[in-house]
Amino acid sequence: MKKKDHLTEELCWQEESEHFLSVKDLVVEYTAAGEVIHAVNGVSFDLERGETLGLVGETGAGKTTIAKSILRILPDPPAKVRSGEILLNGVDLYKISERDMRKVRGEKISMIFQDPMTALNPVMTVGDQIAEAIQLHHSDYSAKEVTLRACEMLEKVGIPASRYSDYPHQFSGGMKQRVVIAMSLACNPLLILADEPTTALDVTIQAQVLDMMKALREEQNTSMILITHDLGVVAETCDRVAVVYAGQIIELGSKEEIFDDPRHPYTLGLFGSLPTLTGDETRLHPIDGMPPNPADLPEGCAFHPRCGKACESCRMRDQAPELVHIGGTHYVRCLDEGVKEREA
Amino acid sequence: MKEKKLKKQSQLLEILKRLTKNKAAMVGLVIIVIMALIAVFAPWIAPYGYEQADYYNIFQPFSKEHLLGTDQLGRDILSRLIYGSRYSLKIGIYSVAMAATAGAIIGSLAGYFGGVVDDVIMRILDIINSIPGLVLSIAVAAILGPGFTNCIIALAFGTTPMYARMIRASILNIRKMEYLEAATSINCSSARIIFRHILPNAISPLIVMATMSVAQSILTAASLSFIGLGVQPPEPEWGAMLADARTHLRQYPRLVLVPGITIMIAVLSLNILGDGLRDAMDPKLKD
Amino acid sequence: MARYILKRLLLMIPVILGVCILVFTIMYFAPGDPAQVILGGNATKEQYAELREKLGLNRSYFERLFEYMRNVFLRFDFGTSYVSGASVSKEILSRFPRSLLIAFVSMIITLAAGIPLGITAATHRNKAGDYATMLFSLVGVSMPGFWVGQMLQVLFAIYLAILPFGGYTAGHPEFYVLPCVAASIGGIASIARQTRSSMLEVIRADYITTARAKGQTEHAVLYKHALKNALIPVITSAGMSFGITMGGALVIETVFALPGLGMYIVSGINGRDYPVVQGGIIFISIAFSIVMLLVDLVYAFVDPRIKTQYQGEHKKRSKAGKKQAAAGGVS
Repeated sequence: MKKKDHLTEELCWQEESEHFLSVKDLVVEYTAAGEVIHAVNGVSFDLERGETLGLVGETGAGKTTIAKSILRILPDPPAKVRSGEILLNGVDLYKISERDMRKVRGEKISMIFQDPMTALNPVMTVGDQIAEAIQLHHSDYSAKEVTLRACEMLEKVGIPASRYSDYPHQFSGGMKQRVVIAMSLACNPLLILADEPTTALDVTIQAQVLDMMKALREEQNTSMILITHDLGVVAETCDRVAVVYAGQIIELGSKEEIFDDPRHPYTLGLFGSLPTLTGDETRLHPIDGMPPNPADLPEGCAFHPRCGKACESCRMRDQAPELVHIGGTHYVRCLDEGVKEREA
Repeated sequence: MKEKKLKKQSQLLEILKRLTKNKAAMVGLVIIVIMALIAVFAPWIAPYGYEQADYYNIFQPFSKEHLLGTDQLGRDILSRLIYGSRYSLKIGIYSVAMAATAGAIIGSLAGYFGGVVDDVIMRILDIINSIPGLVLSIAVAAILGPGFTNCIIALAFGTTPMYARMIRASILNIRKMEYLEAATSINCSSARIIFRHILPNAISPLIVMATMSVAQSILTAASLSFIGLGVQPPEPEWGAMLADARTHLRQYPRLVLVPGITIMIAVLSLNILGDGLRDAMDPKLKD
Repeated sequence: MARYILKRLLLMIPVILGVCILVFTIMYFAPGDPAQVILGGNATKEQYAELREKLGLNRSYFERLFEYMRNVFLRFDFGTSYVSGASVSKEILSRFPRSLLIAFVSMIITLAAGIPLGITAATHRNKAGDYATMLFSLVGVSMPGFWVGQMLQVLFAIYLAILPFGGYTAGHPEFYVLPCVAASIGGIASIARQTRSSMLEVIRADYITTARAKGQTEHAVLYKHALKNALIPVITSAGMSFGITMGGALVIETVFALPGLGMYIVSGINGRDYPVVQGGIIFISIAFSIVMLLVDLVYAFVDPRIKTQYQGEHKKRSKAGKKQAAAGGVS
């Protein structure tokens, strides 16, 4: 098998580390035309082996930025990680060299991108693109072994290996997404960052792709961070859920805690904007207003302009709410005492 | 209506603001403006007349009396370059204006009417396009004969197809947009739709292209003059000056060097300005 | 693929016919009497009339056009020169290889220098290398090609005296060096600019992020993933600049007194020798059309999206069926 160097050793087998992945107080800013955009403002969470965490929130809340900063592939400039730690098995990914980081990318952590239409190189065959990922992390494989493994991956995601030499434009959107998934699973990564893997697909294909990802994940005990704004997808796939708003986690808990006992007004709003088949309500309750401009975030609690419960202290600069533990594995970021103490 | 006008103005202001931030483009603009002023006030600025020969002082090197020296007839080169800017800038601007107007009309017709009209126009343009632009200009200049006006026509002939294609392409893009349906639905005439709605929207790529091709025209005009088809010596057009000095290249290379550098500065400034305009009009491209 | 090439070749025929008609028509309106050009000013009226009759100048436009086209396409006969009385076709064929050599070599220089320059500029974005390259290419596109040729003459033939000033002797490649360099400066500059901007655009594409996320090195990301995509639009401008080079070579040949097609045309223009001008321009246009066809084929070779588009319509069916089966197989 593959010769493992010191770093790989460390990343895989540091059993004594507290969590498999921990993100601590991550802050990311973009600079565009002299304006500073606060994309991620102090995000912290932990993830264990085999666990799936859902990152939920509106477009522009900073979900994708969180994922890309874990993989250290944010475009710099304009993006800049200001502070924070990302520990994989206790190793801070921001303290290792770019060369070591390349060994992490694809092999330890891989990413499934949002738009399968643009995520594949149009002038390379899909087989070669999968093979590239394998070959990069298995330098001991012969060319033939690499090709074999790539074919195997294609079959695994339900594409006949005979289409190895086809180009991306010869595939439908769903098929392309399967290729992207095959590519990211090719090296049996420990962690998959799935950025809205099903958003660009038809509803029927969505279910197929989700089932497939779930099966492959269980087979290899892979952890996953699933970014989505679709609560249905979350309910189906995730163990835990983090609700992201304006670059902050405003509520974090197990799927049951969030779905059965949502606390934060924003989370409540998210559920309120979903239609239910069983409920007898005649109207949906969308959240008022627009997501805040990340270049000019409101002072105090970022959600206060849209919050029905906002009071004077929510608007105070020095009163920005902290993420507080409210029982079980449930955390919420709100000043309102009622929100925190309400009985389930 | 008023609101639309306001919006348009603010858009223009926005473009200007971005343009003024681009230092290189501003340098280009300043040089162009200075050259234009020199061209307008040539008789007052030039130290000598452009045809004022002085047979006792031929092939003078750079000196206080003749900053850029004198040519084979003892004429002051600086003065000739100053007067020459009138020809070169006029040739550039007129030929581009002519080609852009003709191209805009042809392209609008093709793009707006589509169908057979479009097919016929496009096939003809395909044919013209398979003759390299400079060769086409040479052919037209060859039958028209040398001279200032003929040179302009020949240059315009070579570039019209390019404009027609570009305008047609932008019209095809715009045609798909909904506000045209709205205009049709309130019974606007075809001409009104073309001139009030389509052309103004296709105009910004046109401006960028026009700036660049004024530069290109000046270069092509120099080539035409050089092979004896453009403006003829003793007129002080820059290309003609190069052609005139050609026989003295071995002994007095500065006679070729100086007009060439002048052409380069003018063309370079226009190109830089064109680049800046493009970035200002489409900030996406620059980023 | 063979079918596509054939189809494109067939499509070229009407374009070339059109070019002939267009050039013939432009030249038809040329002022001046060919009989006068041939006989000079000292012949009798009868002699002029006789010659006009012989040249067919009294016949209608359509008759003459038909005659000309027939001669060109069936016998490859572009007529005879008014001035020398020699066959234009023969003269063109003997001179064309020299012009083609200049255009071809300049094209190679253009690509070999322009593309690496563009890449360097893009990868050193907003650093000294980028600014230097862009300044060079701006200056490069702003100089008349023939003037560059003259400056090269001054430097290499007069001051350094290491290359010939001009002219041509068979079997001496050094006569081509300066013309080729002069003809490529403008092209290098424009290809460098095009490569840079298309590289910068491609670098932002999602699939580049995908390649990075795989753990690919920055070098491979640039050269394996970005470059091939970035070169696609460059191919088109390379084709266009081949046309510009051919046009520019006409003037540059004059500068270096290199007896190619360009000098032939220019001498034809100055001598009002219209069959020469007409034949030369038609010939250049045909050559240019062929180059553009080649460009389209290269395009198809590089961009798989275009390749599949025309890989025979008959194949499309079976492919669609296969696709369906594949999609169905998973659900």
